Amino acid sequence: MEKTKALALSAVLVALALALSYLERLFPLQLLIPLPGVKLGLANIVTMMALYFLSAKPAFAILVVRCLLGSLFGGSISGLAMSISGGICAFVVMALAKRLPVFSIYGVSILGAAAHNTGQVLAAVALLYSLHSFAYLPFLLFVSIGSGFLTGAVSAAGFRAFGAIFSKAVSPSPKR
Amino acid sequence: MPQTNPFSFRKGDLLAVGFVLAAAIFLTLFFWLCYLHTDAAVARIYLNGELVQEMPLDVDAEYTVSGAYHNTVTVKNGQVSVTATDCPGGDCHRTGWIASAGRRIVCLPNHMELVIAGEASVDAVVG
Repeated sequence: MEKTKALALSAVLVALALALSYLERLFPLQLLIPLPGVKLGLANIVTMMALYFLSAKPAFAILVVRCLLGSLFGGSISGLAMSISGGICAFVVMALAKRLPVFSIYGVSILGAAAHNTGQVLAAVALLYSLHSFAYLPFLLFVSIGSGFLTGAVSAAGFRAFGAIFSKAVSPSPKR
Repeated sequence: MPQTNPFSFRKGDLLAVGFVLAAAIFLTLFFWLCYLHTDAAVARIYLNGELVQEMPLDVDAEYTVSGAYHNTVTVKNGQVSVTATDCPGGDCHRTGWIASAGRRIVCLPNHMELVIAGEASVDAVVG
């Protein structure tokens, strides 16, 4: 039965991620910082949620399905390449950072946001065949500290509220 | 192993902030230095499709291209221009001063082409 629950929860988290990335478009952050690629990264909350309450494997599956469906609903192939390469980088870094006891969810989130931007720029370099995109990375990294902190704060608040429900729904209980 | 609540900010998180900040600053400095180093662009002059002269834009100089006609190419203050010509059209002279990579001056009557070497900078980003 646990398997069924985990599957259902994964599906719900995919839906949540898609809804969050749509919601994100309602916040015109680019009016504030007019640079392409700058966004809050709300969908990253879901990856963290899956990492903290499920485990790495379903978290990865949720990420891939989210990227595929997201580009199907309102994106492009190059957008898919950017989001999936950013998403995988963020996933790997967050999964590793979560294992280190020095970081709370804030640190994990900030490192994840930075890794996401790095992955995006790597994809841009590969797509455009031009190393010039790398010059854009420092700006994105500065922004990612702020956006990573914000999503970390949102996740922390959400997880405190939902943690009890989640850990009842899925065993084993959240680590740490 | 005693664990604190993973959902509240701890001092260790400052490490993450510091790490990303350090990476951003390092990359900024790195690209800035790269930019400074590659700043000295070179103007390449081709006559009948063959490279006849290279002129670094950071050294003021003058060079006359002698083909069917004569173009005087002048480098001054990091810019380059055909300052004098005896070709019938005079379009090369009217192109004026150019400085950025990828820009070019062409003199059709003289079969002369002047290109500033390097990758053309981006005009716009769409997407």
